[in-house]
Amino acid sequence: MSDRIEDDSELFGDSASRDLWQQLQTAQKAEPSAQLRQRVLHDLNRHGERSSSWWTRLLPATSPQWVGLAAACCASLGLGLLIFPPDIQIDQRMARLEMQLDSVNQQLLISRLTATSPSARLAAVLQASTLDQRDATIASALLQRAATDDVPSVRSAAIGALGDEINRPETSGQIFELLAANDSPIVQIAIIDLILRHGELTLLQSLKQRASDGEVHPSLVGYVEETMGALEI
Amino acid sequence: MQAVSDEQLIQWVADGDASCLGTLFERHQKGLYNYALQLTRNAAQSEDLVQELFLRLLKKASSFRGESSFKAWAYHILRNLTFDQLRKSRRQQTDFASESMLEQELVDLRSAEQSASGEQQIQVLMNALARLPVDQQDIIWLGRFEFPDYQSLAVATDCSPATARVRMHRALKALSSVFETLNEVPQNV
Repeated sequence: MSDRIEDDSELFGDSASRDLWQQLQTAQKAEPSAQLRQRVLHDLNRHGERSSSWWTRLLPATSPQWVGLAAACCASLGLGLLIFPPDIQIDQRMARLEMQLDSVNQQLLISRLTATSPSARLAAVLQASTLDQRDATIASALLQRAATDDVPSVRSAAIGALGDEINRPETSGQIFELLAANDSPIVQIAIIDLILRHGELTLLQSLKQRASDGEVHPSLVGYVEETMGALEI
Repeated sequence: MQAVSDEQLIQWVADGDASCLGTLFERHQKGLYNYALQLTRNAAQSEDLVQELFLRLLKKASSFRGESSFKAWAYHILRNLTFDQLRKSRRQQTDFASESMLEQELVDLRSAEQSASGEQQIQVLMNALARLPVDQQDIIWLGRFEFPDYQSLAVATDCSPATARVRMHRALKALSSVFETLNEVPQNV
């Protein structure tokens, strides 16, 4: 039994079930209201404030057990400060905040990559191309732009932004499919340049083969052959 | 730019940094809300449930053991909250008129855009889904939109993968049947 639902051949024994399943995917999702965010963030802030003033709740406690507990807490706190000096704790918190900020920036970038305005998408692609480190989500979003964007300049910029990702087998496979599917010379030249700049030897050889097989726009075949000759491939 | 995993974030929440829950909220709020909305058919109630979920996550963060994904764990808790809520409000015993009204509300929320673009079939499909028993809507929604494999679906729905598969088979069959019936009669929505 396959664990993936999509691969469950018994579930989709007839084509009608699969059609139904595919149609469901296109259902629009409702947006939660802005008030929900405000309410949840308010709860979190309130919790943060409560956590930071937890000691005030001990003040009314005057029984010996509570005094003993408070003394034990103070001792633990002192020991904790000795083991983890405050600057280390602050560094840890800063590191966490920086990682969270990166995460939010990534979500923002991915959101802009799918913006309705072509100029916003292009700006997002250019921003993605300047990142030192990218995770698979951004690479996948760029590939999606490269494959499906309506605007050729966004497609070619997304291809250029892929950089070294081109050498991953799944990415290179999709890029060659794009090369075969795209009639636009501007998109094709972006793909060719990407392979010439970042591709490993096997990709370069594959490109040369595809150019001679007629998968490349006629006006670009000479460019590919000339460059391959200069690279002695 | 590397994304912090959900599991790392909830660990930090357990360590006392409640702000990390804000990031988890941003990542999952839409999916969680739509799941609750599908089951309750009530926008305000769904938002209350999501808010309650995040309060629970704040309190229970330290009990997350990492045996499943954070997402499966969160949906599991939201599912329990939602089913409790449904039991309390005895939604399943509401009269037909009230049911239709709620259904209409759901359709309005989800499909205004679809109607405008003439995607009537999707609207009919969502109507058919809304007419299924809640436990069948539950398994279809989670399997279709949130958990692509039976293993994680089983965690979220609190059963074994084999049971999740059987439930999915039954639910999809039921959906197919209701969808066909609705397609046979003229739609007035």
